[in-house]
Amino acid sequence: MYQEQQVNRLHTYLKQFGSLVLGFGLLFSSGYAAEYFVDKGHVDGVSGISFEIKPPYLNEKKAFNLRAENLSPWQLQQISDAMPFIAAFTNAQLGNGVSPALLPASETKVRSIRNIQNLNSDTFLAVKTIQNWQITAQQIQFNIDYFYTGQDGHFVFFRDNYIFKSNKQKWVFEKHAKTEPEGVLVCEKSPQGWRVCVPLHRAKDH
Amino acid sequence: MQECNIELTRQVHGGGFWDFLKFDSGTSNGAREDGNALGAGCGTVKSDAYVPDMMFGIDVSQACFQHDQSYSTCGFSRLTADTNLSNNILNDCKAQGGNALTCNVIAGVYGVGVTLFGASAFNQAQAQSCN
Repeated sequence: MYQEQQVNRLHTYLKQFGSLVLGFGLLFSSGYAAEYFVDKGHVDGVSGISFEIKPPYLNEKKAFNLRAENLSPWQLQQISDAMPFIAAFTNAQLGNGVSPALLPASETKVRSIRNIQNLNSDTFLAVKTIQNWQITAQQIQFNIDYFYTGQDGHFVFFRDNYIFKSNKQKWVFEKHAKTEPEGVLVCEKSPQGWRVCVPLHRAKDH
Repeated sequence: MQECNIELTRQVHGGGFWDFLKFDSGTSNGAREDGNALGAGCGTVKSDAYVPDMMFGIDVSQACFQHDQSYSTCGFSRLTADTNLSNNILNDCKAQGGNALTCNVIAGVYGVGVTLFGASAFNQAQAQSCN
Protein backbone atom coordinates (compact mmCIF):
# COMPACT_ATOMS: atom_id res chain seq x y z
CA MET A 1 0.00 0.00 0.00
CA TYR A 2 2.75 2.40 1.06
CA GLN A 3 4.98 1.36 -1.86
CA GLU A 4 2.08 1.87 -4.25
CA GLN A 5 1.56 5.41 -2.88
CA GLN A 6 5.26 6.16 -3.33
CA VAL A 7 5.24 4.88 -6.90
CA ASN A 8 2.16 7.01 -7.68
CA ARG A 9 3.89 9.98 -6.14
CA LEU A 10 7.00 9.37 -8.24
CA HIS A 11 4.87 9.15 -11.40
CA THR A 12 3.13 12.43 -10.53
CA TYR A 13 6.42 14.22 -9.95
CA LEU A 14 7.98 12.83 -13.11
CA LYS A 15 4.94 14.01 -15.08
CA GLN A 16 5.23 17.49 -13.54
CA PHE A 17 8.95 17.57 -14.28
CA GLY A 18 8.35 16.41 -17.86
CA SER A 19 5.70 19.08 -18.38
CA LEU A 20 8.03 21.76 -17.10
CA VAL A 21 10.94 20.62 -19.29
CA LEU A 22 8.60 20.53 -22.28
CA GLY A 23 7.19 23.92 -21.35
CA PHE A 24 10.65 25.47 -21.08
CA GLY A 25 11.71 23.88 -24.36
CA LEU A 26 8.70 25.23 -26.23
CA LEU A 27 9.06 28.58 -24.56
CA PHE A 28 12.71 29.14 -25.41
CA SER A 29 12.57 27.61 -28.87
CA SER A 30 9.53 29.60 -29.89
CA GLY A 31 11.39 32.89 -29.95
CA TYR A 32 8.79 34.40 -27.67
CA ALA A 33 10.86 34.05 -24.50
CA ALA A 34 11.16 37.80 -24.00
CA GLU A 35 7.42 38.22 -24.38
CA TYR A 36 6.83 35.58 -21.69
CA PHE A 37 9.17 37.21 -19.18
CA VAL A 38 7.96 40.78 -19.58
CA ASP A 39 5.00 41.72 -17.42
CA LYS A 40 2.87 44.55 -18.74
CA GLY A 41 0.00 43.76 -16.41
CA HIS A 42 -3.39 42.19 -16.92
CA VAL A 43 -7.00 42.36 -15.82
CA ASP A 44 -7.85 39.65 -13.31
CA GLY A 45 -11.41 38.49 -12.77
CA VAL A 46 -12.44 37.12 -9.37
CA SER A 47 -16.08 36.09 -8.89
CA GLY A 48 -17.05 38.39 -11.74
CA ILE A 49 -15.21 41.43 -10.33
CA SER A 50 -12.39 42.94 -12.40
CA PHE A 51 -9.04 43.88 -10.90
CA GLU A 52 -6.60 46.03 -12.87
CA ILE A 53 -3.28 44.34 -12.07
CA LYS A 54 -1.35 46.95 -14.02
CA PRO A 55 1.36 49.57 -13.39
CA PRO A 56 1.88 51.67 -11.42
CA TYR A 57 2.66 49.48 -8.42
CA LEU A 58 2.21 46.27 -10.40
CA ASN A 59 3.88 43.99 -7.84
CA GLU A 60 2.01 45.48 -4.92
CA LYS A 61 -1.23 44.74 -6.78
CA LYS A 62 -0.10 41.18 -7.47
CA ALA A 63 0.33 40.71 -3.71
CA PHE A 64 -3.39 41.25 -3.08
CA ASN A 65 -4.67 37.91 -1.80
CA LEU A 66 -8.15 37.75 -3.29
CA ARG A 67 -8.75 34.05 -3.75
CA ALA A 68 -7.70 32.33 -0.53
CA GLU A 69 -10.40 34.13 1.46
CA ASN A 70 -14.07 33.57 0.77
CA LEU A 71 -14.93 37.13 -0.26
CA SER A 72 -18.33 38.10 -1.64
CA PRO A 73 -18.62 40.02 -4.96
CA TRP A 74 -19.56 43.15 -3.00
CA GLN A 75 -16.45 42.84 -0.81
CA LEU A 76 -14.29 42.20 -3.87
CA GLN A 77 -15.73 45.31 -5.54
CA GLN A 78 -14.77 47.37 -2.49
CA ILE A 79 -11.22 46.02 -2.68
CA SER A 80 -11.11 46.63 -6.45
CA ASP A 81 -12.04 50.29 -5.88
CA ALA A 82 -9.45 50.64 -3.12
CA MET A 83 -6.67 48.70 -4.87
CA PRO A 84 -4.83 51.66 -6.48
CA PHE A 85 -4.73 53.52 -3.16
CA ILE A 86 -3.66 50.52 -1.07
CA ALA A 87 -0.99 49.59 -3.66
CA ALA A 88 0.44 53.15 -3.64
CA PHE A 89 0.40 53.18 0.16
CA THR A 90 2.18 49.80 0.31
CA ASN A 91 4.84 51.03 -2.11
CA ALA A 92 5.44 54.09 0.08
CA GLN A 93 5.66 51.85 3.17
CA LEU A 94 8.36 49.74 1.50
CA GLY A 95 10.42 52.90 1.15
CA ASN A 96 12.75 51.48 -1.49
CA GLY A 97 14.06 54.67 -3.04
CA VAL A 98 11.10 56.72 -1.81
CA SER A 99 11.85 59.55 0.58
CA PRO A 100 9.57 59.46 3.64
CA ALA A 101 9.12 63.21 3.10
CA LEU A 102 7.17 62.36 -0.04
CA LEU A 103 4.52 60.50 1.93
CA PRO A 104 1.16 62.31 2.16
CA ALA A 105 0.57 64.11 5.46
CA SER A 106 -2.19 61.64 6.36
CA GLU A 107 0.34 58.81 6.27
CA THR A 108 2.80 60.26 8.76
CA LYS A 109 0.93 58.52 11.59
CA VAL A 110 1.70 55.20 9.95
CA ARG A 111 4.14 52.91 11.73
CA SER A 112 7.37 52.57 9.81
CA ILE A 113 8.51 48.97 9.37
CA ARG A 114 12.02 50.24 8.69
CA ASN A 115 12.10 52.06 12.04
CA ILE A 116 10.55 49.18 13.98
CA GLN A 117 13.01 46.66 12.54
CA ASN A 118 15.97 49.06 12.41
CA LEU A 119 16.45 48.58 8.68
CA ASN A 120 18.89 50.85 6.92
CA SER A 121 18.18 52.35 3.53
CA ASP A 122 20.23 49.62 1.79
CA THR A 123 17.93 46.85 2.98
CA PHE A 124 15.41 46.01 0.30
CA LEU A 125 11.94 45.67 1.82
CA ALA A 126 9.40 43.68 -0.20
CA VAL A 127 5.74 42.78 0.13
CA LYS A 128 4.77 39.11 0.40
CA THR A 129 1.00 39.36 0.57
CA ILE A 130 -1.89 41.65 1.50
CA GLN A 131 -4.63 39.65 3.16
CA ASN A 132 -7.03 39.00 6.07
CA TRP A 133 -9.65 41.33 4.62
CA GLN A 134 -12.44 42.66 6.83
CA ILE A 135 -14.76 44.93 4.90
CA THR A 136 -17.68 47.19 5.70
CA ALA A 137 -19.31 49.93 3.60
CA GLN A 138 -17.04 52.60 5.08
CA GLN A 139 -13.79 50.83 5.82
CA ILE A 140 -11.39 48.10 4.78
CA GLN A 141 -9.15 46.37 7.30
CA PHE A 142 -6.27 44.16 6.22
CA ASN A 143 -2.76 42.92 7.01
CA ILE A 144 0.38 43.45 4.98
CA ASP A 145 3.10 40.81 5.24
CA TYR A 146 6.52 42.31 4.44
CA PHE A 147 9.84 40.54 4.09
CA TYR A 148 13.50 41.36 3.75
CA THR A 149 16.85 39.59 3.81
CA GLY A 150 18.17 39.62 7.37
CA GLN A 151 21.82 40.04 8.36
CA ASP A 152 22.29 36.26 8.49
CA GLY A 153 21.10 36.02 4.88
CA HIS A 154 17.71 34.50 5.76
CA PHE A 155 14.34 36.03 4.98
CA VAL A 156 12.57 37.85 7.82
CA PHE A 157 8.78 38.18 7.55
CA PHE A 158 6.86 40.92 9.36
CA ARG A 159 3.12 41.65 9.59
CA ASP A 160 1.30 44.89 10.35
CA ASN A 161 -2.40 45.82 10.33
CA TYR A 162 -4.20 48.73 8.66
CA ILE A 163 -7.61 50.35 8.28
CA PHE A 164 -8.52 52.41 5.21
CA LYS A 165 -11.61 54.61 5.03
CA SER A 166 -13.54 55.87 2.05
CA ASN A 167 -13.31 59.64 1.61
CA LYS A 168 -14.55 61.53 -1.46
CA GLN A 169 -14.12 58.70 -3.97
CA LYS A 170 -10.72 57.89 -2.49
CA TRP A 171 -9.54 55.35 0.01
CA VAL A 172 -7.11 56.70 2.60
CA PHE A 173 -5.21 55.28 5.56
CA GLU A 174 -7.21 55.96 8.71
CA LYS A 175 -5.36 54.16 11.48
CA HIS A 176 -3.80 50.89 12.46
CA ALA A 177 -6.31 48.21 13.39
CA LYS A 178 -4.32 47.30 16.51
CA THR A 179 -2.05 49.30 18.78
CA GLU A 180 0.84 46.98 17.92
CA PRO A 181 1.85 45.19 14.73
CA GLU A 182 1.63 41.38 14.68
CA GLY A 183 5.38 41.59 14.22
CA VAL A 184 7.87 38.97 13.09
CA LEU A 185 6.37 35.83 11.60
CA VAL A 186 7.54 32.27 12.08
CA CYS A 187 7.46 30.26 8.88
CA GLU A 188 7.39 26.51 8.39
CA LYS A 189 7.07 24.25 5.39
CA SER A 190 3.62 22.79 4.87
CA PRO A 191 3.27 19.09 3.96
CA GLN A 192 3.01 20.31 0.35
CA GLY A 193 6.37 22.07 0.72
CA TRP A 194 5.14 25.69 0.71
CA ARG A 195 6.10 28.27 3.30
CA VAL A 196 3.34 29.00 5.83
CA CYS A 197 3.85 31.91 8.24
CA VAL A 198 2.15 32.81 11.53
CA PRO A 199 2.95 35.55 14.06
CA LEU A 200 5.69 34.62 16.54
CA HIS A 201 3.45 35.03 19.61
CA ARG A 202 0.82 32.72 18.12
CA ALA A 203 3.49 30.16 17.26
CA LYS A 204 4.70 30.26 20.89
CA ASP A 205 1.12 29.66 22.11
CA HIS A 206 1.09 26.40 20.16
CA MET B 1 11.47 4.90 21.96
CA GLN B 2 8.72 6.93 20.29
CA GLU B 3 7.38 5.50 17.07
CA CYS B 4 6.61 7.90 14.23
CA ASN B 5 4.45 6.98 11.30
CA ILE B 6 5.24 8.30 7.83
CA GLU B 7 2.58 11.04 7.92
CA LEU B 8 3.92 12.38 11.22
CA THR B 9 7.43 12.35 9.78
CA ARG B 10 6.20 14.33 6.77
CA GLN B 11 4.58 16.91 9.04
CA VAL B 12 7.83 17.45 10.92
CA HIS B 13 10.18 17.51 7.96
CA GLY B 14 7.76 18.97 5.44
CA GLY B 15 7.88 16.13 2.97
CA GLY B 16 8.99 12.62 2.11
CA PHE B 17 11.90 11.20 0.18
CA TRP B 18 10.31 11.82 -3.21
CA ASP B 19 9.92 15.53 -2.47
CA PHE B 20 13.42 15.78 -3.88
CA LEU B 21 11.69 15.40 -7.25
CA LYS B 22 8.95 17.92 -6.50
CA PHE B 23 8.54 20.68 -9.07
CA ASP B 24 5.53 22.95 -8.83
CA SER B 25 4.59 26.26 -10.42
CA GLY B 26 2.20 27.02 -7.54
CA THR B 27 -0.67 27.46 -10.00
CA SER B 28 -3.71 25.42 -10.90
CA ASN B 29 -6.62 26.16 -13.23
CA GLY B 30 -5.01 29.42 -14.31
CA ALA B 31 -4.70 30.89 -10.81
CA ARG B 32 -2.09 30.91 -8.07
CA GLU B 33 -2.80 28.47 -5.26
CA ASP B 34 -1.61 30.96 -2.60
CA GLY B 35 -4.42 33.37 -3.59
CA ASN B 36 -2.19 36.12 -4.98
CA ALA B 37 -2.41 37.29 -8.59
CA LEU B 38 -0.55 35.50 -11.38
CA GLY B 39 3.10 36.58 -11.51
CA ALA B 40 3.46 37.01 -7.74
CA GLY B 41 6.26 34.47 -7.59
CA CYS B 42 8.50 33.03 -10.28
CA GLY B 43 7.49 34.05 -13.79
CA THR B 44 5.05 36.59 -15.13
CA VAL B 45 1.32 36.45 -15.75
CA LYS B 46 2.06 34.57 -18.98
CA SER B 47 4.77 32.25 -17.71
CA ASP B 48 3.68 31.65 -14.10
CA ALA B 49 2.27 28.23 -14.93
CA TYR B 50 5.57 27.11 -16.52
CA VAL B 51 8.22 28.53 -14.22
CA PRO B 52 8.57 26.49 -11.01
CA ASP B 53 8.05 28.22 -7.67
CA MET B 54 9.18 24.96 -6.12
CA MET B 55 12.22 23.11 -7.40
CA PHE B 56 13.52 19.87 -5.84
CA GLY B 57 10.99 20.47 -3.04
CA ILE B 58 12.44 23.90 -2.24
CA ASP B 59 10.07 26.91 -2.20
CA VAL B 60 11.79 29.73 -4.12
CA SER B 61 8.71 31.90 -4.63
CA GLN B 62 9.75 34.63 -2.16
CA ALA B 63 13.21 35.02 -3.68
CA CYS B 64 11.55 35.40 -7.10
CA PHE B 65 8.97 37.90 -5.87
CA GLN B 66 11.66 39.99 -4.20
CA HIS B 67 13.64 39.90 -7.46
CA ASP B 68 10.57 41.13 -9.39
CA GLN B 69 10.13 43.97 -6.92
CA SER B 70 13.82 44.91 -7.21
CA TYR B 71 13.45 45.16 -10.98
CA SER B 72 10.41 47.40 -10.45
CA THR B 73 12.26 49.83 -8.18
CA CYS B 74 13.38 52.87 -10.13
CA GLY B 75 17.16 53.06 -10.29
CA PHE B 76 17.81 49.62 -8.78
CA SER B 77 20.85 47.91 -10.29
CA ARG B 78 20.04 44.85 -12.38
CA LEU B 79 23.32 43.19 -11.40
CA THR B 80 22.52 43.67 -7.70
CA ALA B 81 18.99 42.31 -8.21
CA ASP B 82 20.28 39.21 -10.03
CA THR B 83 23.05 38.62 -7.50
CA ASN B 84 20.56 38.99 -4.63
CA LEU B 85 18.28 36.42 -6.30
CA SER B 86 21.02 33.78 -6.39
CA ASN B 87 22.16 34.53 -2.83
CA ASN B 88 18.61 34.55 -1.49
CA ILE B 89 17.80 31.23 -3.15
CA LEU B 90 21.01 29.73 -1.80
CA ASN B 91 20.36 30.86 1.78
CA ASP B 92 16.62 30.17 1.72
CA CYS B 93 17.23 26.71 0.27
CA LYS B 94 19.63 25.83 3.09
CA ALA B 95 17.10 27.17 5.63
CA GLN B 96 14.55 24.78 4.14
CA GLY B 97 16.87 21.82 4.60
CA GLY B 98 18.30 21.62 1.09
CA ASN B 99 21.79 20.17 0.70
CA ALA B 100 24.66 22.17 -0.79
CA LEU B 101 24.50 20.52 -4.22
CA THR B 102 20.73 20.99 -4.58
CA CYS B 103 20.85 24.59 -3.40
CA ASN B 104 23.70 25.51 -5.74
CA VAL B 105 21.94 23.89 -8.69
CA ILE B 106 18.68 25.79 -8.01
CA ALA B 107 20.48 29.11 -7.44
CA GLY B 108 22.49 28.49 -10.61
CA VAL B 109 19.45 27.68 -12.75
CA TYR B 110 17.56 30.81 -11.71
CA GLY B 111 20.71 32.95 -11.80
CA VAL B 112 21.46 31.90 -15.38
CA GLY B 113 17.78 32.26 -16.27
CA VAL B 114 17.55 35.91 -15.24
CA THR B 115 20.95 36.69 -16.77
CA LEU B 116 19.83 35.30 -20.14
CA PHE B 117 16.20 36.37 -20.19
CA GLY B 118 15.94 39.22 -17.69
CA ALA B 119 17.06 42.19 -19.79
CA SER B 120 13.74 43.01 -21.43
CA ALA B 121 11.84 42.44 -18.17
CA PHE B 122 14.24 44.76 -16.33
CA ASN B 123 13.99 47.49 -18.98
CA GLN B 124 10.20 47.29 -19.01
CA ALA B 125 9.94 47.35 -15.20
CA GLN B 126 12.33 50.31 -14.95
CA ALA B 127 10.41 52.23 -17.60
CA GLN B 128 7.15 51.61 -15.71
CA SER B 129 8.52 52.57 -12.29
CA CYS B 130 10.57 55.63 -13.31
CA ASN B 131 7.73 57.35 -15.18
